[in-house]
Amino acid sequence: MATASRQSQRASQASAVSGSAVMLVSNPNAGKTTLFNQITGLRHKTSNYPGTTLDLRSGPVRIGDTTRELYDMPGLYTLQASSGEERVAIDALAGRAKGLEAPAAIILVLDATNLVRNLYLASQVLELGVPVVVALNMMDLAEQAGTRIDVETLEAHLGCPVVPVVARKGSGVDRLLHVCGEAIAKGQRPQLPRLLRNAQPITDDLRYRWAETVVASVLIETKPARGKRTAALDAFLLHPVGGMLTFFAVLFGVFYLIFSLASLPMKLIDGAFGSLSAWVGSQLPAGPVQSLIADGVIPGVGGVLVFLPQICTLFFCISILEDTGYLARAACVVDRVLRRVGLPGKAFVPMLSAHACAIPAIMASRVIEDRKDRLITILILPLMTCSARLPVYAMVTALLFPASPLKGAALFTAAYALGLIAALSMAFLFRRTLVKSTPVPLMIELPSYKLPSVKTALLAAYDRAKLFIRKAGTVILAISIVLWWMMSYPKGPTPSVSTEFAASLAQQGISAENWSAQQQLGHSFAGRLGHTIEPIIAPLGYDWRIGVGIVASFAAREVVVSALSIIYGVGEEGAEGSSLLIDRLQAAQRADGTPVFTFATCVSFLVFYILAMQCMPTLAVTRRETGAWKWAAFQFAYMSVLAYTAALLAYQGLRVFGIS
Amino acid sequence: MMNQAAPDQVLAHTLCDSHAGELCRVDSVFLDADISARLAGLGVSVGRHMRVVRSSEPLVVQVYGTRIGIARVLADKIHVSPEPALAAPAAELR
Ligand SMILES: Nc1nc2c(ncn2[C@@H]2O[C@H](COP(=O)(O)OP(=O)(O)O)[C@@H](O)[C@H]2O)c(=O)[nH]1
Ligand SMILES: [Mg+2]
Repeated sequence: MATASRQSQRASQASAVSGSAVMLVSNPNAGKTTLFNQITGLRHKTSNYPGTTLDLRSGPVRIGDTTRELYDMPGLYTLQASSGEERVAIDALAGRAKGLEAPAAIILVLDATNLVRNLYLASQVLELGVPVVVALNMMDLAEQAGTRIDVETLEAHLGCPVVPVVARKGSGVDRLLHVCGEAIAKGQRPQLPRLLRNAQPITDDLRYRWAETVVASVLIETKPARGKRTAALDAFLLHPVGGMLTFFAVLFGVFYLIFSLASLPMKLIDGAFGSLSAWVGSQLPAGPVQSLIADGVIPGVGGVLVFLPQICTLFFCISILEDTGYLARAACVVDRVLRRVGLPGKAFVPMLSAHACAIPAIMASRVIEDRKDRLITILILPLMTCSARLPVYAMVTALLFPASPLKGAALFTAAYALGLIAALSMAFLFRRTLVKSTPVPLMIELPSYKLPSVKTALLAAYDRAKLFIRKAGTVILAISIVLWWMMSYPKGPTPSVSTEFAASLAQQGISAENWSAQQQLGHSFAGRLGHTIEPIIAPLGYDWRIGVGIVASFAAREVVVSALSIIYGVGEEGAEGSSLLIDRLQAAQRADGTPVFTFATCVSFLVFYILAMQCMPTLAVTRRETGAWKWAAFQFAYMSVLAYTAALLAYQGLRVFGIS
Repeated sequence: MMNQAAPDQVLAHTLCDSHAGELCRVDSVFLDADISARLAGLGVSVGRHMRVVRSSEPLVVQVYGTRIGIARVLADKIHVSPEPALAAPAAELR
């Protein structure tokens, strides 16, 4: 409670940002994010670093008399890295980055339980010539382990103020900010330690020898260190068999949570947008504006927001797993496998995320330092089965195996597997053609196991949700307007349905309203495009109506189900997976009287939707994260070719074997 | 990337050759600058003492009280000399 009130006090005082920024720097896992959350609470924002893909979390904080922006920089092991996200962060620290002035001060977070390695980074940060204040974190753990640290001697060695803190509890944070204010006021640049000051150049060996000397003189060990638990857990979690089994168990657990926990809020969001659309439809006078808002914008935006609960659940789980220290072990285990196809072990977090949605997955691929490794990962991520494909899978399953849950489950599994196998195969292929290099070999810290923090996880989920809404939201709005226009214009003649005709429609189970919607869609640009592409898609076993579905779902694949509902005269309600749509699809006939949705057509249709890009927001994110439209275009092109070819092979192959 | 070949040392003993439980000291690192810099940040650099915890893939070493997983292709380019068990208190330093 005390923490909460102090937090709101810090935040309420913080109004307009005036002074130059303060940056938080540390090794990964030293508690930087925990400290940042402790200081800024919910008032932070994530903003894009000018001209790069680096997203920096920042929030206002009152230091002394000035409100400054506090930045949570990415974790760094060294300031000498020459590539990737780290380089950008290092430039920002040194005030060399354009668009961001040099920090007024750096808060350097040191993990008290891991001092030597942390002091190596400190030796480089002290050289920057910017005022530095050290937050000596994890003091609670150090005490538990039976170590005491002589803070004054440490200050003397570092030549800058040192404040012991426990970021998790928030103790020492106020004093840290106070000391930081003083350091800025005095313009106190750290005195470079003597051992380092006179050396030219400063070698890594020298830095470590200095760090060892410092630690030897400040560390008062009262109990011998333990480490049995970590060793035992590692022996199991890194084991080729045990580790792999654990990995799959964890994976299964996360998926289970994504699909169980998120299902209720998803239904609620879906329902809310449905009612909103109906309400707006009833309030506005009938006409293009009403249609645009009720049939275009609201369902379009709702169709994307419905995935929010899954994304939040996913990132909550990932944050928990990361916090415990398990994620680094998992990366080791899967690295052995992924490396064979040319992917780095760290690609597994994005690959896991891609099974919910490719957009946050592509953003999560920033954990991969190497640019080429990251590019390949981004290119293949949309092949994984995202939630938006599930309505399509469900529809095809219902068409093929309406009465057999077992066969249905097998089909679902096969669909997931095909997506994954395609992703791995394409990675393998790209490694041999596009970027001829091997993935950067694994080197990763295996942090000691800790109990996870729910607060950090909740904040991580909240952050991701905001990012997702911002990235997807802007694109989806434009897309839904364009789609609505394509499906509504040009207007056909308003059909007048005679009583006799209505009766004959009713006999077929089609309401007059659905019939005119069907006619209108056939007449629209989307409908005409469906006809235009019919010769191209005929070899896949599709007719022009399926073509309309493909055109309509060009920018968002899940739209195909509702588009088919309209084109087959079931009305929008048919999209709810009702048996009406399935019956209608099964009854659908070609001009020659043969059924449209034969076994071969269904399989080909499923294969197409597993592999096709059909997601405009993803392309926008790919372009942003790779920095070039070229890669987004390439991603679209290769996936379309792959989907077409595979669907063609599936359809024609089945026919060769006499299955139609 | 790792085309910087290690010179033919007859007695070259790399991190890869070490067994679990062994203590050793890093003599030289034959890797490109960016990778060596990253490894140095993790505590794996010339002059450091470390204990090999697991000699699997990836190899796990303990240096300054933290565990680092290193791919064997990298470990193979890190030359070390074994240290007698008691001579390296630094490896256990935190
Ligand atoms: N016991 C304890 N754990 C902490 C403290 N500060 C951070 N942690 C934990 O250390 C882990 C890494 O923290 P995080 O803030 O993610 O580190 P970052 O990688 O530097 O951003 C998390 O599990 C935190 O909950 C602390 O003062 N005491
Ligand atoms: Mg962090």
